[in-house]
Amino acid sequence: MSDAIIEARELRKRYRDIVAVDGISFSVRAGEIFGMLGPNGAGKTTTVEMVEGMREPDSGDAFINGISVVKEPKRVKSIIGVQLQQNAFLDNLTLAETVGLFATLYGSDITADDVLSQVGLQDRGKHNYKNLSGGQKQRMSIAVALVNDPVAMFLDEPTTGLDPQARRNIWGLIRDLRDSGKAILLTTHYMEEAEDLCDRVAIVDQGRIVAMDTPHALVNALRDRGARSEHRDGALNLEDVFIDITGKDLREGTGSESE
Amino acid sequence: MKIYLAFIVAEIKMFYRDRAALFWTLAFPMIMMLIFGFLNFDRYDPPDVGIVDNAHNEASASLVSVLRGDGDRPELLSVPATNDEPELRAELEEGNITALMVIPEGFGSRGPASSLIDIYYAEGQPQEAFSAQSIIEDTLDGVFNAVADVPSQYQRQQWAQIRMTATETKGQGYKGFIVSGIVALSVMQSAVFGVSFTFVRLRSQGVLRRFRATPINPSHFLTAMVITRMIVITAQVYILLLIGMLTFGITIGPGHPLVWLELLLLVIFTAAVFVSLGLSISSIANTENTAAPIANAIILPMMFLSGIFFPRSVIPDWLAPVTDYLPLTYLADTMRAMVNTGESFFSQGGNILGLAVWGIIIFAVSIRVFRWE
Repeated sequence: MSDAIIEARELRKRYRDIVAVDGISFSVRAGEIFGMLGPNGAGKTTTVEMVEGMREPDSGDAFINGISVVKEPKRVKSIIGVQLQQNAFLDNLTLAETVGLFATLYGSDITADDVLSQVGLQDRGKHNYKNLSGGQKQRMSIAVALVNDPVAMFLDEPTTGLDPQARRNIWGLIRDLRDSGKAILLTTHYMEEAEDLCDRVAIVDQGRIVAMDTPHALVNALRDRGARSEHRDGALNLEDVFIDITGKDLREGTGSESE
Repeated sequence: MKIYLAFIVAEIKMFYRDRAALFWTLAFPMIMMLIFGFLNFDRYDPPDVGIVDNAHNEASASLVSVLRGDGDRPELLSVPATNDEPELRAELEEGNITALMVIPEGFGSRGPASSLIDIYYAEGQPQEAFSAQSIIEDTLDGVFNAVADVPSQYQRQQWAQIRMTATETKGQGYKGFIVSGIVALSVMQSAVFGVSFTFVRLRSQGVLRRFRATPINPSHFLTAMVITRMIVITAQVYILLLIGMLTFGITIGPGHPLVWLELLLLVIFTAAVFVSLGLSISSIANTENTAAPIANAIILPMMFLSGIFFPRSVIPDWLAPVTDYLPLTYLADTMRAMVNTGESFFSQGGNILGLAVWGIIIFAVSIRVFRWE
C-alpha cells in the first residue's frame, strides 16, 4: 500500500508481565477513516499512543508519511493531529488563546479564527473551554488537533457522552476532514459509529488485531459463517461481529487501558 | 427513621474516606494544638539593655550586678558584655538591643541635685523599654536601700531620677517584624501551593498529556511554569512590601536602598527552593485532595515555628534548635535583616547557605519523585 499515511509494523509493548500489544500492524490511507475497536484493556490506547510517539514500543515501529516514530518522534508529532479521550485545556484561557498557544507549540502561523471556523466555533473564540457544551468541547479539541494542518489525525472516542445530534455533527466534521485528504484513525466503543463512519475497522483483542476489513465485509463474513441474528428485524450488524469475535465475557479486570 | 440512619451511615463513610476532610477536622487542629501547646508565651524574656557605667562606684556596681543577675540571682535584664557608649548606641540603632542605660558620674552620692539616669530606647519597642524602666526603678530602690539605707521610693527620687528618651532606630518594632515575616511566608506559600496544586490538576486533567502529544519537549512547559511562578512571587513581594511601607510606615532597608534590588536575588533564590518543594509534593500526591494535606502538613508547622507571627524566643528550648534549621526560618531571618535593618543580601551568608542546602536536598528529592503522568 504505497499511499499509506499511517503505517504500524509489528508493534509490541508489555507492562511487567502483561502483554498489552502483541504484534499489531495496519495502515491508513489518505482520505480514509480507520476505526479501531476492542473491549477495554484490548490494547487500543497503547497502540495509538505508540503510533503518536507518546509511548515507546518494545519492538516494531510506526511510520507517518514514511517517517519513523521510533527514530524521529518529534518530526512525527509535528505532522499529526491528536485528540485525547480526556480533553482538558488550561484554565482561564479563551478558545482563541488556547488555539493560539498550541499553534505556537507547533510553530504554525495559522490564526485562531481560521482554525475555529473549521470546526464551527468561530463565534466562541472569546469563551472559556469549561463553559462549552459537550459537543463544542469535542469540536474544540479537534480544532486544537488541526493547528498544524496535520496529514494524519488520531481521535480517541470523539463522540463519547454526546447526544445523537451532537454525535452526528461530529461525524460530519470527521467526514469533512477525511474528504480534505487526511488519514484518520479513531477509536470508539460505539459500533454504529464505526459502521456508519469508518471506511475500514480493525477489531483488537488481547493485544492483537483479530479482524480487519470494511464494516460491510465483516458483517457479510459473519452471515456467511451462518450466524443468526438476535434482533427483531433479523439483520446482523457490526456489534454482532464484535461480540462474535471477542466473546461475551465482561472485560473489567484491567480497569484502565492506559496501563 | 431507617432513611435517616441510611443517610447518616453513608455520610459517615464518605467523610471517613475523604482524606482532605479528615485532615482539616483532625490533623490540622492537632498540629495547631501541639504547636501552640508547646510554645511558652508566659516565659519571662529579659529585655536587652546595654549599660554604660560612668560612675564606677559601689552603688553603680551594685545596681549593674543586680540587674544583670550576677551569682544565683535571677537575670532581670539581658546586658551585653560591652559598656562602651558609642558601641552600644550603634547596637541600639541597629535594633540589636531594646534600650541603653547611662549611669552618670557621681551616682549614688546625694549631691546638690539627684543624679539623672538616661535611658535611650528604640522607638519601635516602647513596651519593652517601659518594662525595662520599671525593672530598673524597682532595682534602684533595693540598691539605695542596701547602700545608703534609704527605704522609701520618695527618697529614692532625691538620689536618682530616670529620663526616658526615644531613639530612632533601624529595627522597626512589631510592625516591621510582622510585615517582613508575612512577606517571607507568602513567598513559601505562593511557591508551594501554587506549583503543587496547579501541577496536580494539570496532570490529573490530562493537560500535561496533551502537551506531550505536541512536538515540544515537555520540560519547556515545566520551565515556563517555574519562571512564571518566580515572576508572580517577585511581583507579590514588592507589592506586599509597598503596602507595608504605605500603611504601616515601615522603612524598607533603612540606610541601604540597594535592598530593593538585592531582594530580587533572595526572592528568586528562595522561590526556586520552594517551587522544588511544590513539585515534589505534586509528584507524591495523586489528586488535589491528597496534595492539600501533604502541603499543609509541611507548611503549617513552619508557619508557627519559624518566627513569622511571634519571635522564636517563645519556642521551648528542646524544640528551638530544630527551628533554627527550618528553610522558612532562614528565609524569614534574611528577609528581616534586609528589610528591617537594611543589611545586605551578601552579609547573610549563614542563612543563604542554609537555604542552599535545603535547595539541594529538595531539588534532589523532586528529581527522584517527579513524574509527568
